[in-house]
Formats: sequence, C-alpha cells, structure tokens
Amino acid sequence: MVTRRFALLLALGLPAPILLPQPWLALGAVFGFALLLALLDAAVAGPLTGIALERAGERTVWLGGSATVTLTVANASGRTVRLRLRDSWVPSAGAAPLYHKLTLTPGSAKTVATVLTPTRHGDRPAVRVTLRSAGPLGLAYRQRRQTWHDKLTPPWTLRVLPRFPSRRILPERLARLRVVDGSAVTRGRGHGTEFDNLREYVIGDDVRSIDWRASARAHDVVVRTWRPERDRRVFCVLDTGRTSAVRIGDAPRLDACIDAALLLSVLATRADDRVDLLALDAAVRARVEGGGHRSKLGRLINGMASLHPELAETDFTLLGQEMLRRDRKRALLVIFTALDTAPMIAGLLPILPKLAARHKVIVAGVRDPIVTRLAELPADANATDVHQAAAAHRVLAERDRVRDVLAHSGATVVDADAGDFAARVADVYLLLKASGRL
Amino acid sequence: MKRWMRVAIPFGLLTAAVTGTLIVHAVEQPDPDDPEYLTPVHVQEISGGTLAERLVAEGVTVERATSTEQAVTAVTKAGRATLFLSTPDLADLPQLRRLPRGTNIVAVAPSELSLRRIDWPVAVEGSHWTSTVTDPGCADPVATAAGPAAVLRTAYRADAGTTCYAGGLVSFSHNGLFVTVAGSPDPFRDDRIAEHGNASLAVGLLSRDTRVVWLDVHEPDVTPTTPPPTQPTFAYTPDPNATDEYYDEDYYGDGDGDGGYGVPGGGDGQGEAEGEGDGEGDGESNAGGGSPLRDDPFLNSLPSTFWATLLLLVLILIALAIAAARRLGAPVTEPLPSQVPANETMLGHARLYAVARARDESMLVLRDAARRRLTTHLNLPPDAGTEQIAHAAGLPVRYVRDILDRDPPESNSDLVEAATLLQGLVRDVTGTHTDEGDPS
Repeated sequence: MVTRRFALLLALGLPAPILLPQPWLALGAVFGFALLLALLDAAVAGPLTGIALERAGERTVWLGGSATVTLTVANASGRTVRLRLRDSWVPSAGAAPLYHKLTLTPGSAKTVATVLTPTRHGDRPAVRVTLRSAGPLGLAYRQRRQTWHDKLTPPWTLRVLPRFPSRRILPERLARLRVVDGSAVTRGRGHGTEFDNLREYVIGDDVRSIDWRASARAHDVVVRTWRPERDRRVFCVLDTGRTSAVRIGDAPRLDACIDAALLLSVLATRADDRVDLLALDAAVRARVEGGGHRSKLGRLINGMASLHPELAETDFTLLGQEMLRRDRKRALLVIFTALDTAPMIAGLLPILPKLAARHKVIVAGVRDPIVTRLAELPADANATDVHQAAAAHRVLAERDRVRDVLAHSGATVVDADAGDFAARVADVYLLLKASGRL
Repeated sequence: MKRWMRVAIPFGLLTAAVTGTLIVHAVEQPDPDDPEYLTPVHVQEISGGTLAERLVAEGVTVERATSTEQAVTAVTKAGRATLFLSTPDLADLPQLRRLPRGTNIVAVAPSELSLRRIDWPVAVEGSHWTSTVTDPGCADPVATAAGPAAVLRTAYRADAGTTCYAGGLVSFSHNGLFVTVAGSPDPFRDDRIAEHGNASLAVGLLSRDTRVVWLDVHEPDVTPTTPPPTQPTFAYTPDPNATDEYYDEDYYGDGDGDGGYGVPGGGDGQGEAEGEGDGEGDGESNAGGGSPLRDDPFLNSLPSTFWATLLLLVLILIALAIAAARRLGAPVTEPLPSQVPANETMLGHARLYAVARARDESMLVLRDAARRRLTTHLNLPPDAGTEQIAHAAGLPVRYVRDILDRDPPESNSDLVEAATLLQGLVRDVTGTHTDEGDPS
C-alpha cells in the first residue's frame, strides 16, 4: 500500500508533461517510475511475521489515577523493520499516546509505554496492536489483516478500581470505631455485650459488672469487662439494576453505592467483622464470600470494580434465595439501592419481612442532591421555582412513603444525598455496633 | 402554533409562489431544441408554418435547410436570397462568413454568446419577462409599415445601423451582409403572428428578396472544420477593426487547408482525436454521429499537455485517497454508560406544572408537604387541623390559617407569595432549612 509520500513523488513529476515534448510519454514515465520505486520500497520493507509482542506493567489502578503499561516489540527477522504501531485500548481506558514509531534492527527489541488514565471503573482491556512496516523510502508499507493483528496482540486487562472519595472520612470513622472498641480511651474497656476478660475492681467501675464467683476465687473484687461483638457478618448487597444506571451529578448512582459499600467494608473489616458482597440485578453479578480475613478487603474491592449497571429490573427474589438459606447465619444485610416506589414495592417489599426476621436489614438509597436543593425556594423565587419545588416535594413525599413502608416491614432505611451517603451508612453501622444490635 | 412557524409559513408560501411562477414561466417558454420551434413545415403554436404560407402568398420562395452548411450552400448557389436564422444559437454561425456579399440575414433572438461568436457589432442590452409591444420608433420602412409589434423581448444595442422597437429590432451591415436581429420569436410564431403588426413585420423582413432560405435546426449544428493547431483558441476571433478581405482570406484559407487541423499529438491513442480524424472529409456524418462533448470545439482545442497533466493530477488524488483509506487499526468501540439523569422525571413534572399553569396543584403539593413536616416536628397526628398546629407551634391561629388554608393562587405572583410564606412558616416552626432524611 502506498503512502502520501508516493503522491508527493507523483506531484513532483507534474511539470514533466508540460515541459517535455511528449506529454503522454512523460506522464507514463513519471507514473511508472513512482510505481516502480513504491514496489521496490514495499519489497524491501521489513517483514511483519518476525515481530513478537509482549506486555508488562500495572494490572490495577484506582479510578482517577494513571497506570503505565509497556509493550515490548521484538524483531526476530533478518531485516530492519521500520514500524508504525498503534496500541488500541477501549476509549474509556484513556490510553495515550495512540501511535508509536520505532526502527528495529534484526534481533533487537524495543519497549514503548502507554499511559492509561481511565475514565470509568471496571476492566479496561487492550484491544489490538496494529503494525505497519514502512519501506526505507517511505513510499509504500506492509500491513496485514485485522484478524492477524488480533492473534498477535498479547492480552492485557487493566482493572480500574472504583473511586473511593469517602477515604477522606475514613480516619474519623475509624477513630469512632476505636472509641466503640474501647482501645482509644484510657478509662475502662469499651462498651459491648461480648465477654472480654476479668480484672481487679477499681473505683468507678459498674458494680453490676462484678463477677462474684471469680471474686471468691481470687480473694479480691473482680469485674468482668466487655467488648463489642466480633466476627459479626456484614452482607453488602449492591443493586446493579436499571435504577443504578441513572446519573447523579456526573456519575451513575452505582458509583455512590460502591463508595458507601467500600467504606462500610473497610470499617467492618477493621472491626473484625466478616464482610461479604453480593451484586445482583436480573442475575447475580458478583459474589465475594468466605476466604481469609486479611485478603478479604482486596477481594471485595476487586469484586466491586467489575460491576457496572445493567438495564434490567432487579430481581430481589434472588436475594431472598441467597439470604434465606437454612445454613445462613444472622447478618447485617445492607441493601444499596434506590428508593424508587415501583422497584421497592413490587420487588423488595414482598420478601423484606422474611429477611428482617432472620437478619438485621438496612436499606440504603442514594438521593439526588438536586431534589433537596430544588425543594427549597431561592430568595428571589419565581413561578418556575415554585413548580420545581412542588415537583421536588412530590418526589420527597413518595420517597417518605416508601421509607415508611420499608421501616414498617422491619428495615432500617438510610436515605441521604450522594455527598454524605457513605458517611450516613457508616454511622448507622457504628451505631448498631456500639449498641450491640448487630 | 409555534412562534417560528408564524414566520416560516408566510415566507415559505412566498418562496413557493415565486419558485412556482419561475418554473411555470420556464416551462412555458418555447424551446429552440423543440423540433416544432419556428419550423416552416408545420402550422402549430410555436411553429412558423403560417409565416411560410404568407411568404409564399407574397411570391417568395421558401427553401428549408437543415444544417448551416446546407443553408449557406443554398444561399450561395443561386441569386440573392434572405437567410432566416430561426435558431441562431444552434446554428454554426462562423460558416455565415462564406455567404456572398449583399445577403440579407434575419436572426431571431440570438444570445450574447452567439453574437460574440459571429462577432456582429451588436450586444444584448437587456431582456424582458415577456414580449412587449412597442412602436417602431425608427424610419425603417418595414417597421414603419408594420406599426406596433411584439418584437421586444431581448433588447439589443448596435453601435451602427438602425435600431427599432426600442432595441427589439436592430439592422446593420457587417462584412457586406445585411443583418437584422429580432429580439423576440413572437412575430414569427403561428399563435402570435396575427397579433398587432407582427405579420407585416415578419413578412416584410423576409420578403426583401424573392427567395428565403429557412435554416431549421434544432440540435447544435457543428462544423467539420476546426482551428489550426498553432492557435489553441478559436481561430474565428478576429480583430473587429480588420477589413473584410482579411476575414475572407483567413477563413477560406482554413477551409482549404484540410491537412492542417486537429489536436497536436492526436495520433497517440486519444479517442477524441481519432473521431475527429474520421470526420475530416465528411462534415455531415460527423455532425450527426459524434457526441456533443466529443465534438465540442473548445475541448478539441485543448492541448494534450493539458489532458496529460490533468490525468496526473487525478492519479495524485487517487494516490492520496488510497494512502488515507487504509487505517492503522480499526476504531475500537465499547458500550457507553447510561446518560439519563436521576432527576429527569422530577424536572419533567416541574415543566408540566409550569406549562399547564397548574398553580393549584403545585400549591396543594407544597401545602401537604408543609403540613407533613409541621405535624411530624410538633409530634401531632398526620391529620391534625390548622388550629392544632397553630396551638402546638405557639402561633396565632389566624396567621397560620392565612398561610395553610389560603385561597388557591390566582396569578403567578400570588403563587410565589403563598409558597414563600409557607416556606417561612415551616422554617420558623422547625428551625431547619432542608428536608433531612433521617434514618427511621
């Protein structure tokens, strides 16, 4: 195939038919000469069959960060190859630069780096590396079919971990967890219902905590100390159905849910609770259960990274089947969803009483901050503002009704703006933890 | 009706009317390509059969010629004659230079281009929408005898000669030929010849001699001769100040030099050149068989250098297209996330309220919300009355009733006032600004 340089060569021959006495002959000579050179160039160009590709680099990156993936191109052929290379990724991987140029002598290898700045979480695959071998004159090149390049391309997938903006409030919540745990205060042990150990009585201890049997054995007054429950089960359920696809601000609702679920998972893991994950819409999309305590958080984050909203109605009976199994122990069930009337009433409500009977259920719904903002009239309101406020109050009233119905069925409902949603869910967890109601 | 339609519809109608008129006018115009157009052999609307009959009645012989070559030959072969060019734009005008001196020519509405080709000292001054009837306004005996006639459609201006009918009829002598240019075909047409002085004018113009050669061509009449190779442009664009002898010699010199014309390099395989070579000795067959483009004298006059350069340019463009066509890797696609905002339904509702001016409904929703918040805050049952709320909040009953049980708003300002008061009441009582969704 010819390049633009070939056209340029023809253009240089433009004066020939004008200046020479035989214009048609001159035309033929110019074209024939250029064609001959191009054919020679294509024949001399390095073969693509001797090229081998290999990838290396980062496998995961947090959304908002950048990762570098390198591509090593080796030339196993006996000729120099002048390559123009395009490393194609999916558009949301934010790959740059798209094109690379390199000259490979026989037997040599060179590495090119592609910097990826993804715009969405999830798996971002490298799609195809396309190679073009140009001749020494740059008049013609060799390029093979797309299927050949597909086979040649080494597979690579960058897992983009979801954005975790609640990280900034994590230290504060962890400090509160330590207060609940009792490890951060000097006075006494923490509150809780689980027996920790025995120690000597000091003035100020609750006399109801005196263990008389132990006191008799020790010839001293001994009190029992308590600590919050450990090894409770926290089950994060992420609704990835159609209601999670709508955008709040510039991100899908699912992103806010994932952020809150991540914060809850980190807190619960630190509090020595066991966190499991279930993501579902019309089918179960992700399930992270069991496994070692230490590796759990990484697995949870990985599990959440692969989630994306499906345009399907969520089937909460799947949740029922999972959570109402005979061998399922009591857990704190946190359902991250949207408090829309129809999916809640028709989907979750029928199984909610059964779930609430066996588990502690929290239904957490993200609210669009614009609803709250529009419900308030501005200082210089006009009729449009009033109509918008009425529409916003209508939404709020409907949501209140849903909240009442869910609460009536035994669930704790968290309904907050996207900004402080994660914090509110964490607060409810800490409240339940402190009061021993997990 | 949308606002833009109020503007668009009148202008659209006007545009349609103007366009329609132009189309109808164009369709109604007689077309020189039409075989019926000013032909002496038929008596129809746009034909000239009636004129031919009247000429015969006047004792004038009408000879019909179907090519310029034939017409010139017919005029030349015997005595004096008038050449009637019914379609001068289609005739091969340069051949008229071969006409003997003293020949009368009557041309019907020649275009500016045709006038330039034959180099008559006359120019188009303007044109009218339809043929206009005017008085002769000159001393020409034929025009004076005819009186008012509908001959002014294209107006001509001649530097010398006689101008009648405000430019509709121009007569002048040029190179020994006596030429009359008529600005409209109306006086010669069957359906208009009876109007005004049309008949007298047409018959008068064509009966100056006892013989009329009527050139009746309805396709571009081409000449078998082309300019010599040394002159890439038309050979018949002479100096207007030159003498008659010069033209005659120049022209006849061309006609005799059969071997000298053709495109240079015509022997190297070009179709145009070969077709031209075939037609050298037989002008008739060439005129009938060749395509108009192939026989276009302008194209034939272009040197092969031009064609070779043009072909090279095309090849360059093709090479550029090929170079750009092959992509370095096909575009990569992936499914896009949903772009539906969460508040779309709510804003849609708000717009519906606003468009329908649903002040009552909006106010009802706001009042219900306010009541709900007040009763929740004051720990009252949800169906608590206004008095209960007022008592619990410690506010005058009348004040609270004025806000909560106000009459439906009559206007937008009323609505805004009522809603602002309602919001103020809720803020005063609850001391909050936003509806906080506390976990129950």
